[in-house]
Amino acid sequence: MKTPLSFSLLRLGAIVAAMLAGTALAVVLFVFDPSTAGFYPVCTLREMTGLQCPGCGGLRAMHQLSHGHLAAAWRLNPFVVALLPAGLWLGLREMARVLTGRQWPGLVTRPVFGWLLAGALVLFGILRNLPFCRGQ
Amino acid sequence: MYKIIGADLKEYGPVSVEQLRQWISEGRVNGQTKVQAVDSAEWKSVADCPEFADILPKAPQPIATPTTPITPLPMPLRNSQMAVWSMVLGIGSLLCCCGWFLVAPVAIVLGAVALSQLKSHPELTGRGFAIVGIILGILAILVYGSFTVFCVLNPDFMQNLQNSMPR
Repeated sequence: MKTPLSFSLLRLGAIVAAMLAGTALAVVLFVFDPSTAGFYPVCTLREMTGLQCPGCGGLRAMHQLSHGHLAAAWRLNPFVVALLPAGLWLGLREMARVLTGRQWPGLVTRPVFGWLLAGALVLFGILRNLPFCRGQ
Repeated sequence: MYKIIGADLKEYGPVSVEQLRQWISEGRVNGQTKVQAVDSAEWKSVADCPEFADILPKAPQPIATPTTPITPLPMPLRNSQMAVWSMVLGIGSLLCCCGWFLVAPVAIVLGAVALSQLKSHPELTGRGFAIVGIILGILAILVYGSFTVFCVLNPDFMQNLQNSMPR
C-alpha cells in the first residue's frame, strides 16, 4: 500500500479542519478555565438534575491537564483523563492513514472492547453519583 | 530455414522463415510446435524462437516455461472505517450527555450505512463495531433523551431530586 486507498481532497480538508479545530479548542481550554468562564456549554443533565453524567468535568479536567495539574484533572474526571491518550492516538492514526496511507495499529481491534468501554462508562456514571462516591 | 515437426510427428522442411510465419498466422503451427534451425542440432519450440515472437498468438503458452498456477490471493480483510467510527461516536455519545441529540444520531446513521456497506463488500469486516455503535447511540438517546424530556415536563421532580441529594 504505497498510496492511500481512498485519498481525496475532501478527506484531506476534513483532517486539516479537524486539526485546526482541535488546536483552537486546546488554546481556548488552556487560556479560559471552564469552572470560572461562562461561555462553555453547560451539561444539560447537570443543569437540570444536579446529577453528573460520565463526561461531566471533562473540560475542566483538560484545562487542568493543559497546565500540568494531573492530580486535579484526575479528581475532576478520571475517565476522560484516562481516555485522552486513546483519543489522541485515534486522531493521529486517522491523520496518518489519510496523509501517508499507512495503517498504524489500532486500539479497538475487537467489538468486545467497545462493549467493555461502554460498560465501564455506564458504571462510572452511576458510581460517581452515589452519595459515598461524590468527590465534589 | 527451419525443419519442422508436424502434428503427425513427422519431420518436414526445411522451410523458409516466411513460410513458417505464414503457417503460424494460419494457425497450422503454434507455439508448441518443434522446429530446428538448419545450422543447429537443437529442436526447440516456435515460442522460443525470437523471430516468431511478434506474430505468435499470446494465448498458447510454451511448454518449456511451465505456467505457475494462478491461485486467487486471499483478499486482505480490513475493518470498515465507518463501522469503527460509529462505535467511537457511540461511546462518545454515552460519555458526553450533552451529545445525545448531536453525536448519537450520527453514530446510528454511520452504523446503519456501514452495515449496508458490509453486505456489498465481502472484503470488509467490522459488523460488530457497527452494531456497538448503533446500540450505544440508541441507548444514549433513550437514556439521556427520555431523562431530559422527563425533567422538562416535570420541574417538580427535578426540584425534589435535587433536594434529596446529599450535598
